[in-house]
Amino acid sequence: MTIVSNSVGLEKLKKVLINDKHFNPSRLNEILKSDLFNLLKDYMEINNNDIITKLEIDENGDYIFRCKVRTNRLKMLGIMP
Amino acid sequence: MARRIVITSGKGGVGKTTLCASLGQMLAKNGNKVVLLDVDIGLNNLDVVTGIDNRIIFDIVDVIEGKCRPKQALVQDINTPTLFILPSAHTYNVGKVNTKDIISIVNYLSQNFDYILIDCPAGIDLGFQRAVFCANEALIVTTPHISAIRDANKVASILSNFQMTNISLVINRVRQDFVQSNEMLNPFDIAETLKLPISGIIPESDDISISSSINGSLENVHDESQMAFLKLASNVHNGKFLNNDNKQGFFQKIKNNLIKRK
Repeated sequence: MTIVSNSVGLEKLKKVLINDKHFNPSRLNEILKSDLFNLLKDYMEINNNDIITKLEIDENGDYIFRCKVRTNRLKMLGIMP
Repeated sequence: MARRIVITSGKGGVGKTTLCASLGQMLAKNGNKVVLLDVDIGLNNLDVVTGIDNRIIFDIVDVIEGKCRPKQALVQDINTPTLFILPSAHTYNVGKVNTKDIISIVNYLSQNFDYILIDCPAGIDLGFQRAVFCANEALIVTTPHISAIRDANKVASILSNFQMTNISLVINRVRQDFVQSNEMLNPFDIAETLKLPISGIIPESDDISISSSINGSLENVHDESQMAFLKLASNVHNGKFLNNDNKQGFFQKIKNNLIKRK
């Protein structure tokens, strides 16, 4: 009985913390996307719509940031723009 | 240069002020020059907990307004000569206080002390930010209760935006018998969930409650609580944390205590 009490408490705590993470500012995704665009545009020909980002939370409460970038041309490194 | 440690929690009533006073006392008894800075403007309690409330001449707002120098506002602890307290304002003068003023006081004190322990107000509004801006290390105090842990987690997220060199947990009011019988969350499970190291585990103690309503002295407090504060002070001083080996030791200690009682 008491062992269940502790594990139930820990599970409840994890649920509460995971739930709190869902309320993180939605702007974060947009800011990450914008920063990634500024970084990647030096290496490939892309526009903002070519980057798809998703911020998820797994069962352990860890954030999983997924990013998919589509381009049809990489820039040649070591050559002046 | 002093180490500047903010004692924070998010949730009120978890024992920040008492812990600030006790940790300061232990660090001072180990030969360090320590100043406790109460930045809970208008809701000052550190003076009462440390028993200096009848000896205050100037407070932090007087320093800010230039009525005295920071050194003149410091009150020396009667029991520990290397422990000083800079009390908060008696009245609600929060409008007169800004972060720059507090930072300049901390910078001044930093030259003459080994530790500046900043007693942070509850919540995460302006008072909290004022306290956190002055510090480069943080101790997040929580109890083993979900509401307090949740707030500690939010505070940890906010602190990650600041340039802190060290953020750790102090789990306060732990009932060792409840942990042993799995009726209370295990402090190490809490730390693992929050992904933060533990600097100290403080047992629930009637002695500490009584002491904090008299003069904050740990002299008449139960040995186990004194040991817990001593260990916390040692960990803070040496930059160490409780780890899995300590977990074994922690539970072993509980078992030993239970056997002794029987």
